[in-house]
This record gives sequence, structure tokens and C-alpha cells, in this order.
Amino acid sequence: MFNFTIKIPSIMVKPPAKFVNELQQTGLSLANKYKAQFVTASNAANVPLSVLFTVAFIEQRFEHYNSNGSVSVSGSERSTGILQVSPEAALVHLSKEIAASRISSLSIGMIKKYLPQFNFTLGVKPTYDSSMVDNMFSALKNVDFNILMGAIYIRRLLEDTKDLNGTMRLDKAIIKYNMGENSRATKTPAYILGDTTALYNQPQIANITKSYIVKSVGVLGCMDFYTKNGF
Amino acid sequence: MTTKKIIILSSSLLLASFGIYVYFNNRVDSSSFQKHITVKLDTNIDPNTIPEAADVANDGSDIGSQIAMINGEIFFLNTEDGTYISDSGNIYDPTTESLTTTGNNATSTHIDASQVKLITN
Repeated sequence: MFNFTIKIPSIMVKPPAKFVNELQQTGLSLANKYKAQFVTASNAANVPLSVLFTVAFIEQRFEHYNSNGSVSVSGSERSTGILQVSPEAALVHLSKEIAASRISSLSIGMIKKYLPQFNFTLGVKPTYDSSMVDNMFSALKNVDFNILMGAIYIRRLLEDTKDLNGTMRLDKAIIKYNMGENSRATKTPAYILGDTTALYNQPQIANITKSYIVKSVGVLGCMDFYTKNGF
Repeated sequence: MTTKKIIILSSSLLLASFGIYVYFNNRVDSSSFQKHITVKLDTNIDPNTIPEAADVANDGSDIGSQIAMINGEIFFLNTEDGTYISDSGNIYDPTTESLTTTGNNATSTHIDASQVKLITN
């Protein structure tokens, strides 16, 4: 049976020097802000801290709130907070994980705390109406629940997109996380069979997502930085 | 067997094997959740020999010179390919007049160019 691994770097390109300098100067201090919540989510969802830190740095520079104190929300899909989790995507993936009994007791405790309206039984796909999406949206405004939901989502995406030998493709997971589960980029031969470089050269992938990939898994990118710093 | 039949049979086998690949590649089972993910870092790379990616997206020089409002959402022009992109990654392509959203239920909607309100030039 294979093991799960993420190989870094997975593309021989490095992010712009401005980004690398910012990461090296602020990456650790920013990660400290919600470190306890990230450690909890990392354990609950079984995702390396380096992966969660990478997404939080690139998405929001670890900011959960706007400068006026409101929780950061963007886009019509209401991507929320520090990990920019959309309530609809969070519910869809949480439901899949519950149906497959892939939810830890630590996660169950947090779901019951922040989303008490959500009734579920492990091993059974939950049903819910549209009001639950709004409940999830409210719950995602709590930073620790936001990080947990993001972690559960990312773990699922990493397994969904892994290669046959167990190598996890954070680049492919990022495309789904950033562009959408069923975006046109995920239908290309390069997405299905190609390596990170082949994927990076696909015209169907938005420049902002290509930039996200290089900042994550490129040389001197976030995964490199946080792994070298022991996370 | 005729050449045509051989081509059809070969194509069917190719499609079937592709389907099996996709099935196994996407398989997520409950036991896999217990497995830890190991990050393997290759430290034998000299970053000085590695090319730098173009400065796009969040770092900015290629995005942000022109702002448009589409369906109440702010979009920035990506001068590299002429599309508009929002903070959440939604993309409007003025050549096809299509708005592609992100998220789990990504959609592509036709938005007439007349509905795109340019805020700055």
C-alpha cells in the first residue's frame, strides 16, 4: 500500500522576488497569530500544517477580518474568512466526508458547537435545505471553524487529486479550491494526466491560479518555506 | 477484422482504460483518512538557477489597471490576456462575453458587454 506524500518543489519556477521577500519576512509572525487554531484543524482533518499555512498566507495573509472589523467575504459565492471558504462548498464537502465516515471526533465536537442546526449521522449523507447554507456562512465567520472547514475541504481535495502512486498534487487541489471543483481547467488532459509544469502551461488556467500554484509549490514558495521551518 | 472495426475497438479500449484510471485516481475511501501526509522537500536545488515567474495576479503589475463592475462585483483587467478577474477568482472574458464563477458549483453565464460598467480607464 502506498503512502501519501507531497513533493516540493513540484515545479521549477520560483515566485516573484517581491513575494518571496514578503514570505520570508512575515510568514512566521503571521502564522503565529492563529497557530493554535491551525494546529487543532491540522490534527482534526489530518492535513500538514504547512499546507494550511500556505493557503492562509496566499489567500489572506492570515487575515480573517477586514480593517473595519467585519469578516472578510468576497465574491458571489461568499468566500469567507482566513481560508476563503465558501459556505456552499463547505457544506457539500462536509456532507461527503460525513457520508464516508471521514470525520474525526475532534471535528464533530466543533461542528456541533458552531453549526448546531446541522443534524447528521456518520455514514449517512446528510440532507439540508438552503437555509443551512446561510447557517454555514454565519458559522464560517468564527475563525477556528473557518480553519477547520478549510482543512476538511483541502484534505478531501488532496485525496481526490492524488496520483496513482499516492503522490498528492497540491497544485491540482489548488485549482479546484481556487477555480472551482468543476471548472474547465479540471477537464483538460494536462489536469488529468500531466505534471505541475504541464498544468501550469494550460491556457484554461487563470493567471491568478497559476500564480497561486507557483507561490505554493514552486521553488522558495510557501510549502518550501513552512516545511523548512518545521511545520 | 476490418481496419474500421480495429479502430473502433482500440478507441473503446482506450476510453475504458481512461475511465478506470479516472475512477481509481479519484477514489477516496474512509480508511485513507487515517493516513498521514508526508511532505518531501528536495533540498538539492539551487534557487539561483531557477527562473522567476511573471509578476501577475496578487503581486500586481499585470492586473489592476482597469476596474469593471459586473453583477455588483469588482473585476480587474488582466492585461496579459484581456480578461477581467475578481478577488474571488471569477473571470469575465469580454471576447466571448462569458462570466465563469469559481466554487463548487462553477457556472459560465453569458453577460452582454453592455452590462459591464467600466469604473476607471
